Parts: sequence; C-alpha cells; structure tokens
Amino acid sequence: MRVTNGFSKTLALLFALILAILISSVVINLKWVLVMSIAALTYGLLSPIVAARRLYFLASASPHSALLAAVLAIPLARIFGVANEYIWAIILGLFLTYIVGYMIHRGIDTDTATATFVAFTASASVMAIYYVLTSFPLETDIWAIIVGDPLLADWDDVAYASIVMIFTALTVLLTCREQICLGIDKDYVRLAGVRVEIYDWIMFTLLGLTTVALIRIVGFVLEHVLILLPAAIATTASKSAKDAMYLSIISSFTASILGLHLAVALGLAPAGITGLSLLTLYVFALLGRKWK
Amino acid sequence: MNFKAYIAFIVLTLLIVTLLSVSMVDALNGGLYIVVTFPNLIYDVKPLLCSGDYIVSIAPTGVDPHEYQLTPANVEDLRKADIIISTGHAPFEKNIEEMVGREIKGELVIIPKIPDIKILTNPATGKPNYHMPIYDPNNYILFIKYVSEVLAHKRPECANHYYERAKDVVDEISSLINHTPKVNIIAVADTPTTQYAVSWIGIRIKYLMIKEHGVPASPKDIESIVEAMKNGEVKLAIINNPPRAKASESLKELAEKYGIPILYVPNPIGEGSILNKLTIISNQVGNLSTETSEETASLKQSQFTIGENIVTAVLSLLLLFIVGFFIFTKARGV
Repeated sequence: MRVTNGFSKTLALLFALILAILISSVVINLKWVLVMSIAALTYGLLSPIVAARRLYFLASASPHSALLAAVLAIPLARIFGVANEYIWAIILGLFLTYIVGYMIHRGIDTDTATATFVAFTASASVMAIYYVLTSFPLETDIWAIIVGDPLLADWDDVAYASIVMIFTALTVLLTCREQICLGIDKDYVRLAGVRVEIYDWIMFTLLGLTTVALIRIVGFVLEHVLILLPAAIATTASKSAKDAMYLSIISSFTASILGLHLAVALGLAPAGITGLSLLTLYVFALLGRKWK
Repeated sequence: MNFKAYIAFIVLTLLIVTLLSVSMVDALNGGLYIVVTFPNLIYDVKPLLCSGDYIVSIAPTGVDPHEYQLTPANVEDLRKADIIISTGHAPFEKNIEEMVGREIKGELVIIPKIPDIKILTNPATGKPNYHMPIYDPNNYILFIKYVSEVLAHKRPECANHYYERAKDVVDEISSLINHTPKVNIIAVADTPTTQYAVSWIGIRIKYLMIKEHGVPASPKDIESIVEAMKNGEVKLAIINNPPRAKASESLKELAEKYGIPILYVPNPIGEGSILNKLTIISNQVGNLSTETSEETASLKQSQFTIGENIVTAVLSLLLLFIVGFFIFTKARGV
C-alpha cells in the first residue's frame, strides 16, 4: 500500500512538473523553460543527498572548482584542439573534486580538506581568470560563467544539460538509500559489508559533474544557492527522507520557473530572481518551524 | 686578480656597456614614443608616423581590454610615452588618467574628449556609448586630424609628413562615406560595440542582445527582439564578426529563423584599421540595400504590454506564496 502511495505521489509530481513546463512554454520561450527546469531538477535531486551526507561545506566549495575548471578549459581546448571547452571543464572539475575525495579518504577531516581545496581553487581561479582575460581572444566571456546566462543557451546546451540531469537523476534514485544510511552511520554501513568508497566516489562525481556542467547556464554565484537551499528547505519542512526529496525538487523547480516568469515580467536577470524565490521559500519553512 | 674579482669585473663592464648603449639609442633616436591603450589603435595611428617614431599598445592583441589590468612593464611604457591615446572607458584607462601629471609626463589624448566627436546614446541603457566612437567615419576623420596635430606639435620637424599622411587617410574615408549607399532602417545588434560602425549609414540600432559589456541578457529584451523581428519592425541584424560569443550566436539563430538579413561588423578591437573595417561594412551595405525595404511607419504593439507584465508578476508571486504556504504548513507539522 505504502509503495503504491509513494509511486502515485511520484507520478503526480512528474505530471505537475510537465504541466508547469508546458504552460510556461506557451507564455515564454521553450528553450528558457527547459534550461531553467533542467538546472532546477538536477540541483533539486542532488541537494537532499548533500544534506544527508552532511557535505554542505564541500558542496558550497564545489562551484569554486567548477569556476577554475571552466576558466582553465578555455585555453586547454584552444591549445590542444582536442575536445571542446565543456569536455575539458568536466575532466578538470572531476579531477579537482577527486583530489578532495582522496584527501578525505586518506583520513583528513572533511572540513579541513575542503578548506584547503577552497584556498587552492579560489587562488588558482584568480590567476586563471587573469591569464585567460589577458592572453586569450575576445569571445571569452568570464562574466557569463560567474553570473550565468541561461537565456543565451542554445539547443546543444539544452541537450547537454539534459544528459547531465538524466545521469544525476538515475544515480541519485539508484543510490539515495545507501547515501542516506551513510550519512546516518557510516561505520554501521561499512560493517554491513557495503563498499563505502564507491558511494563516496559517486557522491564526489555527482558534485563535480553537476557544478561544472551547469556553471555556464546557472552561473557560479547561483550554484551555491541551488545546491544548498533546496535541501535546507526540505530538511526544515519534512518528516522523512522521501518527503525531503519531493520538497527539494518542488522548491527548486518552483523557484526556477517562477523566477523565470518574474524575470520576464520585471525585465531582470532570471538567475538572481530564482535565488530570491528560493530564499523566500526557505523563510516560509523557517516561519513554519518556529510557529508550530 | 682572483677569479671572483675577474667575473665581477666582466659583469660590471657588460652592465655599463648595455646601459650606455640603451641610453645612447634613446638619445640618438629622437622619435616620438606613442602608447595606445587598445591594440587596434596601432593600425590607425601607425600610418601617420614619421621615421624614428615608435608605437606600442598597453593591452596585447587578441585580449579583451575591458578586463585588462596594468602591468609594471605597461607603467614603464607609460612613463616613457610622449603621447598616450586612450578610448577613455576601460577601467585601466581610468587608472592611466589618474596617473597623468604624476608618474606620466606625456600628453594624453582621450578619444571621447576630442572636440566635436559625436557620442551616441546606447539604445538599451540610455547612457552614452563609449565603445570605440571612431568606428563612425566622421568621428574617425576628427580623430585622425587631431592626432596628426598632436604629433606635429610634439615633433615639428615631421609636421608636414604627419599632415600629409592624415590628409591621405581623410580623403579615403571621405570617399568611402560618399560611395556607401545610405538606408533608413531599424536594426537589432548583439552588443553596443557595433553602434558607431553602422549609424552613419542610416541604420538605427534599437535593440541589443547584450545591453553593456558583462551584463547578462534579460528575458524581456530577448522577447522584445523576437517580437520586433516577427512584426517586421526590425529589418536587419548587426552581428560582430566572427560571431563566436553567445549573444552573437543567439542573434544569428534568431535572424535566420525570422529571415532577417545579417550585416557582419568586424570586431572594433580586432586586427586592422578602422578604414579597412569600414570598407568591409560598406561592401556589405551595397548588397543589403537591395534586400531590405525601407522602414515602415506602422508598427504593431509589443506583445508584452505593461498590463500583461503586471498580471504575470502578480500570478508568479501568488504561486510562489502558495508553494511557500504549503512548505509553511509542512514545517509546522514536523
């Protein structure tokens, strides 16, 4: 009975999301609706896992490595002429995230490893940005990576982001139970015979991939908000892990789509309005928690 | 003499000889040391120069000067400069302005401040557009004449040479202006840097994909562009060449979708003189004028009126508060 209930809840959510996308695309550009929806769903799915694994600090540090990877990918793609900037960015981003993963695996405290990682990536990003801006052609727009430019995404970007979202969705859905258990008691899970390292590796891969792959669409600044706030809303307002996942997706999707509509109506940048919408939802969750 | 003293003697002698030769070359040269802030300005100023004059750019070729920061080597160049030519709008150019009179002794020529230079208004921001005003041929004539005056004043023995070269350039530009067909149409452009390149032909840029350097595209702007293309208000798309930036690619895609002709404008900061770039534009205009009909007076109303915007904003906020209330009640139940 509970399984059927959960299944129908998922179906209802899927139906609502598709309906919202269809209605929105009648009013505004379908490409924008899809880009914003894909980013929202990707981070909406990832955010509760970040919360379950208590990796807030690492998640908020990931956009730093994504920025470094996206900037370094520009000269690498031009120098080597092999693979485009997106591929180079993913390779570099994953490599950087795996370095933190390895540090944590070697027994260094997660926060210490992340702090070292942020120190390195932030400093290296400043140098990389300066190098690229002073040595590479004019078409390179670093500001687009920092503030995000979802409205200028083309259909290739939509396809690319869709692949990242599908990969994230499948991985999260197939491993979320184990990830949640690992967040509750890692030693118990290890004793139960689960290969913890594989799930750690999956977690680092997801963080590295989603931040690097979508940085050009949502921007470095908004990535922090989209990774952290949906889970913060979900954990404040839900009783179970499943509820948290639903709430995270709903809040992330609502903020992105309504943010886009508001941006169209007010003539503002959608990334900023999306961040403010998510913050509004978080304030509602906090108020509900306070006045129960 | 021991070995260490011998080495020290050789090094010292080499150092003195090098320093002496450098200062002698400088003294014998007698030419002007000209520093331009943007690399493309070299192509415009170099044809005027006299033998022995030396020209160098602060921002290297190919980089975006808007984000450039001065290096110690640049400051050294600026100290040596007799004349500095600046477009007066990039942050590092503002730093140079502050340094004049203190570290910099040379004469600073700020293009927008040249007498009678016409500064256009950015159609999207309503603010002055300082992106390469000399891309307008009339402004270019004023610029060439002014620079030749400054050069002649600094090196009087070459004054005739400077004036003659300037006259040649001005004649070529004047001929180009006369031979280029004029139109009267409204256009959309990818960035404000294209405005001066086309306004003199009668092409009025009304819409911009990117309002200003580094500003993200807003949905309202893109909706307006699509609407203007659909209802025929916009007859031409102006795109920086090569169209590699996202804004340029998106505009190209839209123009192709709605069958709007495209005019490719060589990047103002790219290689080549303004004269060469204007010639490329002029050649395209000859073909375009047959494709585009003149601006029509009746234009349909924009799809997104103020009323619709208010309804959209209110509905969006309402839905946001409904979801917020749902989260509020869920949080109360925890």
